[in-house]
This record gives sequence, structure tokens and C-alpha cells, in this order.
Amino acid sequence: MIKMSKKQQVEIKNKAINEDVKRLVIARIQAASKKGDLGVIVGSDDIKKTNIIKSIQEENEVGIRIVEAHINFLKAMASGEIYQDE
Amino acid sequence: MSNVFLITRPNYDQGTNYLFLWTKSILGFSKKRGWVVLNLSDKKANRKSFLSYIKKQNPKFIFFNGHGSATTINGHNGEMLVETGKDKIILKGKIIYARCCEAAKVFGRQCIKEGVLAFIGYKEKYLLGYSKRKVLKPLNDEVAKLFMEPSNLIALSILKGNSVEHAFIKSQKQMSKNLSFMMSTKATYEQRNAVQYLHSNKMNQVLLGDFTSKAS
Repeated sequence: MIKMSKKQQVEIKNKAINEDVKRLVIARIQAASKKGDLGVIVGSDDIKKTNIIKSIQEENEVGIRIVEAHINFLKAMASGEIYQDE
Repeated sequence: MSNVFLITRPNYDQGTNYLFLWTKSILGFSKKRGWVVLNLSDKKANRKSFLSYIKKQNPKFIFFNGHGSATTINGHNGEMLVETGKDKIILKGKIIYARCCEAAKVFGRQCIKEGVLAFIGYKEKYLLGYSKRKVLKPLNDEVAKLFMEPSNLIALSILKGNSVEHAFIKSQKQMSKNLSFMMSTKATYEQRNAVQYLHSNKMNQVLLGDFTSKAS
């Protein structure tokens, strides 16, 4: 059996989390765009649903920005922070 | 002497078209309040005109709209208007609001070091949710309205003579109010699904420099 270093174990764990996060955000975007006509402009890019998903999968600048927006919002919901400023 | 206000309004893609149209009301408001308005719209939002207006008219408050990066703010067709380290003296003593991507990351911080009184901007890419049905009538877009109105409040509040801190807090509160609305059953399907993007803008909007600064 190959023994992994602690660093390797942490790296693998983080990667798995990233994959889960990506899947979660993609699922949210797919669910949101089943009906309706929401568009999103990210900086100078007007992004279509398929391109958003591609950006997330490729982890490019736009994809990372979208993932951050979704995850930070979910964290703010979970912590109740989003309701504090009302 | 009248107070001078400079606004840049490039208009060459969908994002800048939304900003261009949603800043129309700010022009009317500032004129009513007695400001001398330097309106750099469309092709006029270029570096040559910008530098000329700054030198000749010395505006106290500058409101940039359009695209940018951590180190630059752009005008029409992406032409660079100002760049970190390149335009040291011309912005000294001014209040700047940059509705541009990432401008607060490096450019804004450097501005403060170089004598800008206060800088309000965004640390990350500005996100704008919109309704695809309303692209030909952006002012009737009920999704974009939730993004545009709170960010316009910064400029309106500064033009009213309030401190930059007051303007910033007002904008943050309006975004919180809009977030609550977007999470409610009163919101449309599109408005609900754009909520994380407005939340992200709220988190990335920053105020730098002297919080008590006023433009008039």
C-alpha cells in the first residue's frame, strides 16, 4: 500500500472539495436557468449559461468569480449574516 | 465658484450600455443641484478629453463608469483613461467613485497614497444581473434596477453634499434591502436567481481614504 504524506492528503481533500463546490454551483445555475431569462454580465463579459458552466469547469477568472459569488452567498445565508443588515 | 463634477459614460457593449443609460438620471440631478457637469459620454470618454477636462476644469468629484482592471480604468472602446502610477498629480485632492471592475484592488489604494481624498470602488469584477427580455429597454429592467439603484446612490449622495461615508452606508443599506426583497416571494424568478451576484457586489464594494470627505 502506498503511504501518502500529510501534504498529499490535504491536497487531495481540497481538490475533492473544489470538485464538490463546482458541482454544487453548476447545479444551482442549471436549476436557475430552467425557466426565466436571467443574464449575467461579469466585468466585460456577457455570459451565457453554457459559457458560465464551461468557465467554472475550466476554473478561469470568470468561473472562479461566479463560484465565489455563489459560495459566499450560501455561507452568508448559513451564518445568518445576510439577515443582520436589514 | 461652482462645484465641478466629471462623469465618464462609455457606451460600446451591453455592460456599458446599461451603465450609460442608468447614469442619465444622475446628469439631470447634478445639474438641478447646481453642479457644473462634465459629461464624457460615448466617444468623448477618451484619455485626451479626460486629461484636458481634469486640467482645465479641476472637478472635485469624478464618477467613472465602464470597464477596468486592478490597475486601470477604461473609457470608450476600452481605451485606458487612467492607470496606476501614471496619473499621480491629476487626481490629487479629488473624490473618486469607480463603478468598474477591480479598481479598488490596486488603483484605488494607490490613489489614496498619492493624495486622492476618498475612493469608492469594487475589489473584484462587478457583476450585473439583467433580464434578457429587457436588453433593448434597460431602464425597464427590473433585475438590473436592483443592482443599478444602490450603486447610483453613492453618486447621488455625494452630489447632495453628504460625506463619502454617508454615501457608502446608504448604498450598502439599499443593497441589503434589495437582497431581502430578492429572497422574498415578492421577487420574480429572475430577481431571486440574481441574489448571489448582488450580495457579491455588496461584499466587494469598499471605501478608502478620508471617510469624512465631502465634494461640496
